[in-house]
Amino acid sequence: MKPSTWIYYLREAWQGVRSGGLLSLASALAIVVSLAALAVVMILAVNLQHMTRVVENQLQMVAYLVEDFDRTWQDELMRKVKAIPHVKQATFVTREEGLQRLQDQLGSDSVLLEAAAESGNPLPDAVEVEVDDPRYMGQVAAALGTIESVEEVAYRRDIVNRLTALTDGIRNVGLALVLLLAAASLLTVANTVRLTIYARRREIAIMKLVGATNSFIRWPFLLEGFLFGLVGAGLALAIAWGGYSWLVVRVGEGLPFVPVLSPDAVLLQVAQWLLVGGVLLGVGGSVVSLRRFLRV
Amino acid sequence: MITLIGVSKVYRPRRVALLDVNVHIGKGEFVFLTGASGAGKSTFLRLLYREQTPTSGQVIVLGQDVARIPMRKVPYLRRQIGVVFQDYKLLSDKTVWDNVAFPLLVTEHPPREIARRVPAVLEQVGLLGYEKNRAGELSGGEQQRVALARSIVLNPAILLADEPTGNLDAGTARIIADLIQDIHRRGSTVVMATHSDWIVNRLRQRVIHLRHGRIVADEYPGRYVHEA
Repeated sequence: MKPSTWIYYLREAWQGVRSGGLLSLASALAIVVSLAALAVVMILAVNLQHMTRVVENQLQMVAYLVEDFDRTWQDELMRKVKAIPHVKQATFVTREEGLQRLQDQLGSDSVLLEAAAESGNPLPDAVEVEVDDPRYMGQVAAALGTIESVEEVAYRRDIVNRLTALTDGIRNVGLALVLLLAAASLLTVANTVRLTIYARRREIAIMKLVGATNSFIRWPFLLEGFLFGLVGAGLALAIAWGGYSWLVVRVGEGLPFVPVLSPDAVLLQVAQWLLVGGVLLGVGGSVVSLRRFLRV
Repeated sequence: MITLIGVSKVYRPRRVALLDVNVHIGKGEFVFLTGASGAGKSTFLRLLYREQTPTSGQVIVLGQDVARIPMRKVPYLRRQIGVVFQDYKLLSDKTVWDNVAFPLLVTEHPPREIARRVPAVLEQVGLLGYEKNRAGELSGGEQQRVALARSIVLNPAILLADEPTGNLDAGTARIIADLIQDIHRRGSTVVMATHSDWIVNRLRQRVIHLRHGRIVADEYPGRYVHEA
């Protein structure tokens, strides 16, 4: 295709956008809304996945011992623990050490610790166990539980399960919402392009009369949809970028222990999807109208 | 150049536009189509540039059975056929230049070629200097000349004219008729539907007269047949 032809297409497409007026704006905005929703869902899902992974990779579990554990049994116990397959390392932590650590973590002025100091150390002796592979967490936990004088085994499986369920839920509900919005914006674009086609029906008739090929007639309308998609994706990305950067700073200040991904890492991925989504919606809307209203 | 074999065109419901039309038009001929309104003149022309397809029979234009041309090849047929209408069918908010350049643009001619050909055909129809005028601002005769320029800018083998002087006064009609005759002399095959008896009688060309969709007279040189 010749450059002069492309210039013609672009000029015609731009004319279509302009003559659409408010409807063109509506088309671009509909795409913005759909894509912004997509961005929110993606950012949430990606972060939750990241969180799950972080938690999953904490390979530690703790076996809390019975309150009246007799420390003369310590060596015997540790031998049993270390004999469990996939146990990489095991450390005996006395209740005094446990309290000390808690104090270090929470600071010495903690109300909680003051209360604990008054009523005596509430912690039992414990064994910290590190597993060599997260897949065997459940197996190791079960084995630990069978050892005499182990009262309770705590590890992150419940948290992982809950996070996974939350991620799946957000993904499913979010995607359903995104699909609904996408359908709405597809129809909006289709309607706008349809009006452009209607406004130009005379011109189209003349084009056909003088021997324009169908693809020549279609291109400006496809480009019009493409422009809607591009503008929509750009705006949605700007919103996602600004919003997420702001949120990351806030989370960093208020909830520093929550692992969030940096904006650059997430948004580069999101940007690709938004662009693809925008172009698909815009061009798709055009195609719907072209098929129905441009019998060439 | 143009051959119709047993061609009928029936519009629903049951309105017969053409009935068993057999005719051959050779290369370089000038043919008038005459007949009352609704006699089938416009349908005849529309079949030639495949605006419509026949209900039965064969329409052969430039060696091709037009009803059998695949849709995607229709544009290439139309590039060899210029068409003008009673209502000009111009893009009235575009300039004369844009209107005439339009066929060159949609057939992807390079800008240099467009810049060469547009003034040439504008000169041929006597509209040099009108390039920047909006088509809608021109008089009827001028608009028809723009339409003629547009129809010949691709050097078509065939020129079809559907009542090209129908909206014009006698003096202007004569200018248009002369221009069409000029296009014919330069080698195009011309088929012109008209109600204008004096143009037909002045040019003394072949006349095909239609009545209720049938050819009732085909003479060369012919005269205008007045319906009773």
